Amino acid sequence: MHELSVTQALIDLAMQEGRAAGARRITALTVRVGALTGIVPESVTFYFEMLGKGTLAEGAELRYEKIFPEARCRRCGHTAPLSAQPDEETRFSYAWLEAFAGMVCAQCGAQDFELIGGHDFALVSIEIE
Amino acid sequence: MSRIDVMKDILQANIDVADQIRARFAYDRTLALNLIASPGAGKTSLLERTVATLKDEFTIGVVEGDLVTSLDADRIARHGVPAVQINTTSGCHLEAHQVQGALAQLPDTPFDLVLIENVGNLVCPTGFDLGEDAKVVIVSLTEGDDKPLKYPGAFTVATAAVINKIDLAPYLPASAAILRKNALSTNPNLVVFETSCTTGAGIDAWLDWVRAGCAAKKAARPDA
Repeated sequence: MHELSVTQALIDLAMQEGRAAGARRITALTVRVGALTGIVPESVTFYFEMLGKGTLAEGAELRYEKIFPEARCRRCGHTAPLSAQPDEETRFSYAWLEAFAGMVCAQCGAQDFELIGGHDFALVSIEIE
Repeated sequence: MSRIDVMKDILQANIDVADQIRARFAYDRTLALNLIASPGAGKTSLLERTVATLKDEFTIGVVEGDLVTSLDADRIARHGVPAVQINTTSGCHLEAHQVQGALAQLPDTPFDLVLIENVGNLVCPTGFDLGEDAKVVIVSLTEGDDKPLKYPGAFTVATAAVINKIDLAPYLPASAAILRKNALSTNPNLVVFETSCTTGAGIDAWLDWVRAGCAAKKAARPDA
């Protein structure tokens, strides 16, 4: 919903880093997006094309590293990737939470997990010319 | 062509300001709560219930977020508690710089408790750090008991959840017990309250939690 403003923040950061490196053009950006941020990568790409016009990053390719939370057992501390493994898009739309609710700890047998991580929204790298 | 490693948070500008707010609250030993809910869940009603009782025990400041109008700040001010209204015009959430600006308009005294009412929205406010100690999600029974499953983001980042409007239970198909179970399924660490801001049911338990939070913040070392 607020992808317009976060995309502007992304472009501002990329410009700052690109200028510092003496770039004539930014050709690609790698962005890390956590599943719990609520940020929709497709929407960021849409706004990027619009807001990037006339900047160093016009036409740059956007690549996403999608980060999913892990489940941590509250009894014994054992961490596990979320056991639901449907395709990436489905997991990103929170369908994996259903599986999370029913998870059983492989180490102690408890059914008492919490979510760890998945709040990332970071610019990992840029490619410049 | 070359690759430059950046690895910086894109919302760092917001986090930097949130850190300044957090440092001030740590210095003043102010408990700060960020209230998140859909429009009409009862955020302002819960705030009114909270300040009406706690204003005699603590110094309280309130920050209100809405697209337009000062209706909410006016409601709080009627209780004799200082309140500042932020109007985001079309913004769907509060950001730290807006809160910092609002705090500067409150009386320049250290507060025991600062309550920040976010823009009515169960999605966008979850991603923006305002320097608070805890996020509180409020969900009313009239919204349906499936909301934690459909909007898990707010519940996963919250410390406490308030299920409001329980006085309407006899007239609704939704169940507070199921809503509670669904909220805990997204975040088992949630402290859950069931309240009615109309009748006052369950408010005491919520107030005790806020009191305990204020006491813990008073006891905390500022650098902790």
